[in-house]
Amino acid sequence: MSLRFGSLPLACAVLLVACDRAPSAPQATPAAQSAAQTGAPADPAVVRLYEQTCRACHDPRARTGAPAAGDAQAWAPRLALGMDVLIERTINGYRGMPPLGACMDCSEDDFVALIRYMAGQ
Amino acid sequence: MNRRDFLIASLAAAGSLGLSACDDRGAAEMPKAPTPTTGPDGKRLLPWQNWSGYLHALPTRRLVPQSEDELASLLKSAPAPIRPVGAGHSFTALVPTAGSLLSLRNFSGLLAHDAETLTASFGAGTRLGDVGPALDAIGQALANMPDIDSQTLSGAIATATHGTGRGLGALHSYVTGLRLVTPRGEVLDCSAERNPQVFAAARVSLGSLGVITQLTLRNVPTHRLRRRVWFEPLEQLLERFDELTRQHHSFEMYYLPFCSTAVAIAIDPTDAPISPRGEEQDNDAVMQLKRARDWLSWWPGLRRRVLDLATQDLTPEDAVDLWYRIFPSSREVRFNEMEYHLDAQALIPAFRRVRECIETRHHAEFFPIELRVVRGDDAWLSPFQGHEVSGSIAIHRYHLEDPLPYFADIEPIFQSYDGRPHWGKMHTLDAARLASLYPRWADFLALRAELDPEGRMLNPYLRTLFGLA
Repeated sequence: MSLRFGSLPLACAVLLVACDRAPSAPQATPAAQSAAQTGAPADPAVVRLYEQTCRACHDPRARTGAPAAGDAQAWAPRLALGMDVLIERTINGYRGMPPLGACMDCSEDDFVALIRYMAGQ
Repeated sequence: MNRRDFLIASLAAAGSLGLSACDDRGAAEMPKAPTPTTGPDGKRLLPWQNWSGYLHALPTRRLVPQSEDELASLLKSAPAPIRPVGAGHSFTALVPTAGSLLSLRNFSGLLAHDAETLTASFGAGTRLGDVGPALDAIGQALANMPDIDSQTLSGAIATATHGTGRGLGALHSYVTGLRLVTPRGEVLDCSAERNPQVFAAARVSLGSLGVITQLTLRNVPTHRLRRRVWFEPLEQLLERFDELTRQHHSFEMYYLPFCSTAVAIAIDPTDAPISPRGEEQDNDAVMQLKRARDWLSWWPGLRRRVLDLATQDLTPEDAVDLWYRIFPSSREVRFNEMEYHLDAQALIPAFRRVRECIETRHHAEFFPIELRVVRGDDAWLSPFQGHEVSGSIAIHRYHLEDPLPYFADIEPIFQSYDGRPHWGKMHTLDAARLASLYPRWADFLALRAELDPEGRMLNPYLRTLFGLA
């Protein structure tokens, strides 16, 4: 579905844009290389966990708007929020990301490792 | 909209600010997540939530078996209830457990395929999004897909998840074989020839008979699809709905509450060059519908005028791509959902009553209502069982707003047409009602009792659903 309020006459657009306090869907990030290609050798167990869970949405080719694995530019402002914030968002879901990401059995330590891996750390 | 209309709209919007700020739309009534507790290792035990955040659980154990042997052992020994979890995309309480939450992420990927019979076997925990590229690489394609691809194969099949198309069945209708590990530790290979009764029951079984570890699917040759999306006057689209479902390989429509224009989506095979779908726009569109609701729900006439203008003369979308890039969309605005399946003849009459109910009593609703069709099949608990073609109506509510009052008002409409609920979407039917809707209900319950005599797979929701509470 493609509902384009921008195609309305200006007055209507003003009416709706003026209400622009509701959260909007995240924007797509540019494609990026995976952390596995750019960072230090990663823990194979974390790589496997990433492949089984996060990759579906965080793969650089995904159309989800999630920060791509290995895209340091996309991850930098998120890491600046602090790991605690990122973990809370992962547990409870944030924008397009469902609660617990896609790993229903991950521990807090697993999520920290996955975030660091995707951020190329 | 002329200047006078704009001024009126602006005043209306300004006036509604105070009103909408006072209405949390039932948010205070929503279930709250349990507080994380500390495990024996001193680490936080994380609560499980479903995709919408409506359902919660704090399981004692999270199981991630590496093999069928380990799975069989765990099914006999792990704390019950043992509930398999996929992507958490169900809105019914199939997963919540205080016992063991079981992940099948080590049972994933393409296991085998046959080019002659166009069949392929996958680990049951494979996500639909991973099925597409794997099948395409061997020259095969799913005959149909749902409109999201984050679910696991076994989760999607267990709940009779479906796409749309008059000649296209739900995912489980393409399953030709499966392997079931029962709570007694047996490993049963099932098909129309081997353990046929278990096969008929297990294809749609809510994860209640044991744990399915692998599935074989009957597929079609890989191909390209063309997806067209256009806006059309609602009444005209309703008149043409039957014709369009016959004309197109896959067809669905969306009614936008308080809008005279509706959305049509048709998908057909093509040999045209690839022209990808591009950036997903549905999520922003839904949030714009929400804004229109937030400001104008108290003035339906103006809301309709604004929405009608917003949907006027839009350029249709037209995309061509490989099948697995055409069917699914990215759903980033979370919601809770109710969907019922009716005989296709009842679809449009039922929808008209749903629309009337929304436009007279539910001015807070903004999520599009989805109308689809599905070919019938013969799985015992398939909601499409006995229908030549089923018609489906899905209603949604924003995930931060209480869905129950809205759904409770709409559900009797579906029930009056002997509708069957989607197993993964909210409903209130009890065992007696379900028994009247499913001719093989008693057979299913008897088989369940045989395969899981101690009820190790049954959480409180399933006990109630099956009339065993």
